[in-house]
Amino acid sequence: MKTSIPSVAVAPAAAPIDDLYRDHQPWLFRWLRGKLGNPFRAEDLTQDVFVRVIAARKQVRAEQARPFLRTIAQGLLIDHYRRAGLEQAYLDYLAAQPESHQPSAETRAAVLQQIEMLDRMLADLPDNVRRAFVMAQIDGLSYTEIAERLEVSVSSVQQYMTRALMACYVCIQD
Amino acid sequence: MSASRIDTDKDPIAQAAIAWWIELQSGEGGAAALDACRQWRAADPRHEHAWARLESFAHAVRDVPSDFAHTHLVGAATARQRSRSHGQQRRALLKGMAAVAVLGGTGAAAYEWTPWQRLVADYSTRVGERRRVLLPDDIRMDLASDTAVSSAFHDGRRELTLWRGEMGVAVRCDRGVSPLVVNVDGSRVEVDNAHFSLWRQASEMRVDVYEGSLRVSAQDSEPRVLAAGAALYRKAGSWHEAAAQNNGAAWMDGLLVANGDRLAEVVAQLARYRHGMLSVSPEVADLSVSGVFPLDDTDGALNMLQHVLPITIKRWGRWWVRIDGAEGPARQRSA
Repeated sequence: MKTSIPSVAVAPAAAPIDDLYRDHQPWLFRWLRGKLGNPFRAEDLTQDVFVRVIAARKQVRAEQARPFLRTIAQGLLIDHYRRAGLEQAYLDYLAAQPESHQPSAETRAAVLQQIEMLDRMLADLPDNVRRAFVMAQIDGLSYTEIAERLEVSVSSVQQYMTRALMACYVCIQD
Repeated sequence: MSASRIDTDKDPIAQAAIAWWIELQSGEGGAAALDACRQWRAADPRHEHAWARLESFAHAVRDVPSDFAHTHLVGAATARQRSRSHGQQRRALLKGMAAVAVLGGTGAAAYEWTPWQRLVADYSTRVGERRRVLLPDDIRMDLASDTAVSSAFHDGRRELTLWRGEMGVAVRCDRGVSPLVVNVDGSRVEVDNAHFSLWRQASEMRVDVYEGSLRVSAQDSEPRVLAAGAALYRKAGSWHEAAAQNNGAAWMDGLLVANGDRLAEVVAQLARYRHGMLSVSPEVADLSVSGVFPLDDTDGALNMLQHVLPITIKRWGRWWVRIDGAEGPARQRSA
């Protein structure tokens, strides 16, 4: 892109990303720290923003760098809050379980990973599709039972499941 | 990932694998379908690969507890939590601050958010436990057995979330603002002056108002104002009016008050306060029970029932209790 406007070639050239980092890392870090109230998280997320910029292989004009970085950071913040919310919800859930049902630390971590994965997978699907999937895969209900509970036909349940399994298929990386 | 999604939509093998999965899961084809699916998988390594990919996902989510998935990953609550996620961190911090005030100040560093640290301003009870909590803003909260509540101070009002179980709340405010909001699975209860209780089990909920009034709203229904003596029940996604329970608030004093109630219902209430199996045989389930029973001593309550009703209580170990008729088939009366 040859224009007279000064531009920052983000990748693959190495120097511009350095410039971008030097010029923008400080305010971005302060902004994220303000949002998160935790300097360590803020530092991690700031790093993540620049990793995304490199991965995006996009040219960013200098005067657009701030809004561009902020947009990426906002997306990461939303993900972060969502994960934090889920983690907290799972902790609350565990706290309400009897002591004899408390899983080990490893099991917790594994289940939390499954929860995040399921959440990512289900995120963009309609309510009934999510319900049907959870009833089939986690509750082990039959399609007839699911159809009764959702007050739809069995063939609708099959359609919901097709849609959910499509989404889960792409969630699993080879 | 979005590129991968486009590929999958055009991937006939993935689509075939999903179709097989659904056919087997729906149980339509029986054993013949199972054989046919095996043949399809064996016909091409790419088929087997696509199948394995589906199986690995099914495998990867099976440990997620069912009630957790329904509460947090499905339904309106999830979408609402997401849209409100922005304020969560701030609330978490405020929660930490409130806890410092309540506990008299332990090191502030302990309240910084970390994944496996429990935020301390949450209140919970184990099975069999009851707990009364006085919040700094003149709110009294009673937690029934097996209950979890989180608390936050947000935009000048107390915000409680009932995750599980049952809570009684008494709040009195003369300032003309609504000082308390209780969130429960996508519904919202706003309160100025009231004594009420809120119960939930998975996606079923119940609100009982004992004094004052409050407002119940949900995304999918008109807000309702409930006055003292009224009750609402939520099932299958909507709120309905429910018959008031005469002695519904007695549990806050540790009592279960029965007034001509069915034995099965009384026992179900007691069961919430103890671990293990507590079952009632159908022949005595409809016996009428009147009396006052202690919730903190469910074994004592069961013995009291045995004195006033023609029933036999059989105990196998500590966790398995069955209530039969007095002339039940097995004659080993427990001590």
